[in-house]
Amino acid sequence: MNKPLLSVRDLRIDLNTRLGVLHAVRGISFDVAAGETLCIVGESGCGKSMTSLALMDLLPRVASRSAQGITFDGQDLTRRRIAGKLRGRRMAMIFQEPMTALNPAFTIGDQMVEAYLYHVGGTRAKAVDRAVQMLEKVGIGSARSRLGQYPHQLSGGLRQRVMIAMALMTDPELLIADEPTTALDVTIQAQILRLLKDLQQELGLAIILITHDLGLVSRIADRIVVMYAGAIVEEGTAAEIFDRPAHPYTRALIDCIPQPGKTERGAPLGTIPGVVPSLIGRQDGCAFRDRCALAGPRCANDIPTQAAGSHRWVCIHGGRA
Amino acid sequence: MIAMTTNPPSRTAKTLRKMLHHPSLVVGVAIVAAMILVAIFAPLLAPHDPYVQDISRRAVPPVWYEKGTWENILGTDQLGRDYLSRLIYGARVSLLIGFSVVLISGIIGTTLGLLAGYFGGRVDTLVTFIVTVRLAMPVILVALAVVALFGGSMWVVITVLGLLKWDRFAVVVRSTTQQIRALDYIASARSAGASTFWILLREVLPNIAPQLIVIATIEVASAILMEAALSFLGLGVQPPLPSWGLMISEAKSYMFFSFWLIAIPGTALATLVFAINLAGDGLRDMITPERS
Repeated sequence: MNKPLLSVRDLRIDLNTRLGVLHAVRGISFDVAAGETLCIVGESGCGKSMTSLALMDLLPRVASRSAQGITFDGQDLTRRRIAGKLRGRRMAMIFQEPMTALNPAFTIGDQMVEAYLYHVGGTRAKAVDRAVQMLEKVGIGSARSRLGQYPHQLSGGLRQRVMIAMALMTDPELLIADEPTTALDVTIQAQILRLLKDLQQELGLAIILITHDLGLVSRIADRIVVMYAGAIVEEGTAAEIFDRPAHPYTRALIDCIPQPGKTERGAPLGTIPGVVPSLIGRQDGCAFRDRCALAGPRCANDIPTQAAGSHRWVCIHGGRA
Repeated sequence: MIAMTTNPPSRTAKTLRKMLHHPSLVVGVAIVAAMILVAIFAPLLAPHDPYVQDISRRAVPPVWYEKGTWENILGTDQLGRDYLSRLIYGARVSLLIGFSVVLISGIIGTTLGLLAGYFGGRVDTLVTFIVTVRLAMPVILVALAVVALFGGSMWVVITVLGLLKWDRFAVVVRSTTQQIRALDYIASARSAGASTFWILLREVLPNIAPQLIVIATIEVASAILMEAALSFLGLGVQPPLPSWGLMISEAKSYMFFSFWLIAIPGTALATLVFAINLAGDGLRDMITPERS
C-alpha cells in the first residue's frame, strides 16, 4: 500500500463506568489509503462507532482515548490544534440519524453555507453556489429552491443526501460514515450507497463506513475490518473476507446474510448463539471463544495474529476456508 | 428522485396566515400591543396631569355613576387626581418593570442554564446548587431587606426582581439543553469544527427559543404581579408615581365607599397578565420548530 491517508496505531478507548473501566476499544490499528473504502464491521457494542467518534474527537466525556499514533496525511491527529484544523475541512463525518443530524431551526442552505464560510471563507454568494453544486451532485433536483427549506420539509432519504452534500462542501479527502443507511428504507439505502460509491470515484474520496450490515459491505468495500469486543479479529480485502473468511466470527456473520436462491424459503436465518462478552476489565485469550464452535482450551491463551499477504486474522483454528 | 416542481408560498405569508387563525394569539397580542401603545403615548392620551391634586374634587365616581362627569371618565382618587390619567401612566410603570425584569433575569437564567446543561458535570453541580440557594430565598423578604437598605424606587424593584427571578429560566433551559446536547446535529456541528460558543449560540439557543418565549411571557406576567404586590406593601414603586399595584394599595382604605378605586386598576392588571399569557401560548404554537 502507498503511504496511507489515515493511519491509526494501537487505539484504545476506555470508559469509566460505575462497575469499573470498560475497555470499549482494545488497541486497534488500521490504515486507510486515499480513495479507498474501508468498512468497519461488527455487531452492536463492538467499538466500531467509538472508533469513528474517536477519530473526530467526539467521544463522550467519560471516555478517554489513547493511541500510539493517529495521523492524517502525516499530521498528528492527537494534537488538538492540528485536529481542529483538519476536522470539518479535510475530514468530515455523516451520522446515522438524518432526522436529528440537521438543526431544525435553520434552513439547509444556512447550515451548508455556514461551515463552508468558516473553513474556506469567501463570499456568501460563492458559498451558496457551492451548496447548489453539491446538492446537485448528490442528486437533489431544483437545488436552489431546496436551500430555503427546513429539515422537517425533507424526507429521510433527502436529508441523508443533504448531510452528505454538507459534508462534501469543503472538499474533504476522508468521509467517515457511521451507519449512514441504517435509519432509511431499503430502497433508499441502495440509492445512498450507490451515491457514496459514485462520489468516491468522482472525487477520489476515502470513506470509512461503519456498519453491522455485511450485505451492504459486500457492495461497496475495498477493504474490510471485522471487529469483535473492541478488537480487530480479521482484516483483508473484500474478496479475501468474503471468499476466504478465516475467523469463525466472520464466517458466522457471512452465514447470517440471507442470499436469494441459496437461503431456503422458510428455513431459519443464521444466528450466532450467545451474547457479546462484558467489556469491563481484562480479556484474556479469544473473546469469541464462548460462542465459537471450534473453541478449545488453547483459545484461553493469547492468540497470535496470522497473516497471508494483506489478509490478517486473530485465530488459532483452521485458517482460511 | 422526483424533482420539486412548485414553489411553496413564501414563508412569511404562511406564518402570517397561521397567526391570524390562532384566536387566542390574536386577542392576546392585540391587548398587549394596545397597552404598550397606551404606555408609549401616555402624555398624548391622558386627559389630565396624573400628579395634579384637587382636594375639592376628591373621589368623584366614574362617568357611568349618577354623580360621574365626562370631565373625569374614570373618576378621581382620594386626592382628586384624574384616575384615567393615572391608569394610563401606570401602564408605563407596569410594562417597563415587567419587561426589564425579564430581560435581566432571562439573560442570567439562560446563561446559567446553557452552561449547566451543555457542560454537565461540575458546572452542572455548581449551577444546580446556585439555583437551590436562590429557591430557598423568599423574594418578598429579600426585596424588603434591599428596599430597607437602598430605599424604594422603580429601579431598585427592577434590579431586585431581575436578580431573583431567573430560576425558572435556568431550570428549563438546563433540561432542554441537556436533551438537545445529545442530538446528532450538535455532534455534526462539532465534527464540522464549530466552537463551543458557536454551538451554544447557534445550535442550542434557537432550538430552545420556544421554551424561552413561553417562560419569558409567564415571567413578565409574574414580575408585573410581583411589582404590584411589592408596591401594595409599600416596598416597591413609591408615590406619587402611578403604578397599578400602588393604586390598589392607596385605594384599599376606601374600597367600601369607592369600590371603583380598587376595581379599575385591578381589572387593568388582570387583563394585562391574562393577555400576556394568551400571547405567550400562541407564540409558542407559532414558533416551535416543526419536527416530523
